[in-house]
Amino acid sequence: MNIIEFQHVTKFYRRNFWNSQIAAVQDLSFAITGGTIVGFVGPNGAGKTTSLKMLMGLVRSTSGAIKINGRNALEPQARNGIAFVTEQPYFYSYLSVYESLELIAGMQKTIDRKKAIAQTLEIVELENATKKKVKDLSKGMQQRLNMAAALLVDAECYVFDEPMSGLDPLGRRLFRDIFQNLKNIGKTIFFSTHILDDIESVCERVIVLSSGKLSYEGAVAELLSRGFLGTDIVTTSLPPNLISQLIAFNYEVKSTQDQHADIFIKSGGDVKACQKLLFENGITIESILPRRKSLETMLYSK
Amino acid sequence: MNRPYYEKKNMNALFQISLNTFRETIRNKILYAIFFFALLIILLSVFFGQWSVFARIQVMQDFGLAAMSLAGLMLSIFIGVGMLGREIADKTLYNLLSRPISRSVFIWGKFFGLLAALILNFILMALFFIVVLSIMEAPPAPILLKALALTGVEMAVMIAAALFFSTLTTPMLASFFTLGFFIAGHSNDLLESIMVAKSNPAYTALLKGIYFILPNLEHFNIRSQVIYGVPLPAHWTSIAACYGILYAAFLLIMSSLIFSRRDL
Repeated sequence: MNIIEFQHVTKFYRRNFWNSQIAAVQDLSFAITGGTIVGFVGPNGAGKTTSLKMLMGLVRSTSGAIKINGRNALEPQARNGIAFVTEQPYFYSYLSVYESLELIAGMQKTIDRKKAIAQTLEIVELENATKKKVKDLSKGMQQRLNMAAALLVDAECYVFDEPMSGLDPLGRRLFRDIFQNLKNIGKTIFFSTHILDDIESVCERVIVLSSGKLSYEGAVAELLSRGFLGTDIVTTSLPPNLISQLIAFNYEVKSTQDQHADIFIKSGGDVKACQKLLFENGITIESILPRRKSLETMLYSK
Repeated sequence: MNRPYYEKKNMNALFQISLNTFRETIRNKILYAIFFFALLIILLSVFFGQWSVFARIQVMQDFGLAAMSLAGLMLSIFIGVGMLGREIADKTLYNLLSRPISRSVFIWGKFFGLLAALILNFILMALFFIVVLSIMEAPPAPILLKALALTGVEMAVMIAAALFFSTLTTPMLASFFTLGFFIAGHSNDLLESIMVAKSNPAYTALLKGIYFILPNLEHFNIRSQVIYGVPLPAHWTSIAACYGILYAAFLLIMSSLIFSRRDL
């Protein structure tokens, strides 16, 4: 069953009365099934935030349909099993961390509000900042509070708009762990990001937007395999006769300045044969790494 | 999802939004500035009464009631208009409206929270006014309490108008529209007299349309009756209060409809 479904969605904005309309999103169609982590990628101005706002009913589409669990996303009830984390934390600055979460918890059927808030604060490691006013929190702490507000809801699907922007490495690791834990308990995660490293390390599927249009949709593994160029084997320095042999096998060999050699075997080449040859000649292999096009090149090049 | 559960959830949301709006309003410094300004006018009315050629108590009552009506207008403009505009500009409403909450619940929640804070403020002003009158040996007559109650109803209409205009346009324009609404609402009787004087049917129809769309805020103004001790027609207070509540509800329904279609 599709949790989220975009069907030929288009959104036009008018900057002012006199200007002609500009398209933020054009004929966008995709579907997200339950229990997966899906990345939503695109450069600035690609239409990611507009798409997420349309999904959450904050903006109306010009044409097309958006469905959440089969219901029209504009119906408030459709958002019942979905939690949203905005790009920036938008909390009332005069409220404390606890009051902010209490406001949100009070809006839903939470059996034990205090317990739920305490547990959520522990997950995002804000348990010692409950009395702090939102205006006194750092950007990273506000982002954690944003995450806590989403986790307070027992949702089926979590939608994040650039969740890791403004986080330090520890915060990023915490968020990745949270994503993984949510995934492990069968939740669906749909998040937009600029940071392609996050896509590679967290997501199973990716949806790529470019100038408001869908440019790629599929598995991350498939995308990465498409960009596979070959294998790099780093060894200790090689004797000249072995270098000649390797070149004869059509391998690329480069000596590095630190008494090491880098052997590159193009995609489709026999890596095992190369390893065997090195082993027979008593050469120590220090690393074997795949070489591929960067995600940026694959996703954003036309 | 069954309907009673959704409705219960909406009631929870309505309460939480109202509570938070109440909290936000009572932390607003403008509220206190206008509150103390109104108290000052009420106090000054004691001196104005002494210098006046009219009866001192009548002048005090006139000034006091006018000060509270004016305070209601200023609060609805400065706080009512700014509140929704600030929510939209600061995007704080994203956290609420991305949840299963309808925009009409948000508008009604804002209204009730604002109304509760401003009515509390109004009650304190009214108590101060009554105390000042009592000190001046003029204990409040029942008609004065009715006048105060109707001023409160007028305040509710003005808050609804402020919210209505702020769903339509920018805070600056909404402030002007709310002020215009107040002035036009108090001049509605004038329209009626123009309608009678004009014989052109198209012109009369246009004026009639405006007359029925705009509220008649003079229904809530019974200062003359209080000052000169003229009895009110039967059920005036209850009919005027019902009129005010229905008009505020109409404005809020319109606000909800407009706000539901607005891109945030």
